[in-house]
Amino acid sequence: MAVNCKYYIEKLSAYLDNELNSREKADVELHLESCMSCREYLNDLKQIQGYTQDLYGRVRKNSHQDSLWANIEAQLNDNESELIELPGSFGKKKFALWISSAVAACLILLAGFYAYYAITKLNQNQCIVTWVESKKAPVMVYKDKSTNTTIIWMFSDENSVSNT
Amino acid sequence: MNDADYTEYSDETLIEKAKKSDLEAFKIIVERYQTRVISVAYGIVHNEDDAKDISQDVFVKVYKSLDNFQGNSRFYTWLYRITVNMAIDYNRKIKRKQAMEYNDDINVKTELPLADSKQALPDKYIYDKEIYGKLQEAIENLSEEQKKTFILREMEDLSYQEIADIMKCSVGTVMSRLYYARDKIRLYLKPYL
Repeated sequence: MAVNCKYYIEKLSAYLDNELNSREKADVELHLESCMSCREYLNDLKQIQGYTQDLYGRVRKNSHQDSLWANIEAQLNDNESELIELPGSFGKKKFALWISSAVAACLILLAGFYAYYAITKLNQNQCIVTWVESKKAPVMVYKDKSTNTTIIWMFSDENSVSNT
Repeated sequence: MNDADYTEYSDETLIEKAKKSDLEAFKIIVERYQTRVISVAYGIVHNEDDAKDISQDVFVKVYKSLDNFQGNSRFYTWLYRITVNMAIDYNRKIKRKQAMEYNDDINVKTELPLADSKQALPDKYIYDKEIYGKLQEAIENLSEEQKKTFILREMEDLSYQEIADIMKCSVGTVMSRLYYARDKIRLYLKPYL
């Protein structure tokens, strides 16, 4: 097989399918006139095409006789009965229901987080309690920011507590 | 409107009606294309019953996805694309299942077109059985893209441009895939040619 046969062999598949332009087709035909190996290759492709059409031809004939519609209709009717009964086009309302449920769940979650944060922050800001060691006795100070109240406990001995 | 009127409508008109849940319109689409869909599915899975099952699933999927079909391409382009992809997916599942079951047998899955030769020429029957078996095996061993391209060309006689539209590739790629597919099949069948 000549080196340039590789070029023409790659064109033979498209030549068989009549997909070459007129210039390419003329070029291939000119080569085929003088190259037996390329002619044999083309004949092989034609045989393969014939066998393929025989192999699949019977299936085409049978499939023309059978009707798929009854089974398809049954599947479509089964699928429709599984959907929620809502007015509107097929399938779209189910999707909208899922979306709105997801949005509602997110809002509830956010509200929950905000409430938790607000309560803990409120408690943190509500009052401050410190313990102060002094020379006389330990002192505990309570400051309530919201009411602007300050309460001071002075511990005079281990067993007594007074507050102000 | 009765079926006789619907059969005269174009694909686009029937699709628009089917989008509005007109099952009679969709029935005409099914009847118009079922032969081709079964043929293409069979070309990939090589089993008539499986091809029919896949074809039913294809049409159910098409009906459910009608809103996604905007009419930017021909309806049969979109239909064939769904068909080849579902058939390839089916084949992958079967191969995974066979791999798990350690099935090493070559699976010639369907009856071969041999009924006539068996009675008249028994030797021809044996010879034909071998060739068709080898042909199925050769097609089975193509890459997925080569297989799809080969089936669409040989089963449906589609042009390279139509195949390129279905497979979303260039005409040059179609040409290349067909060349390599046929070359591989030729090597498989060389002793019989």
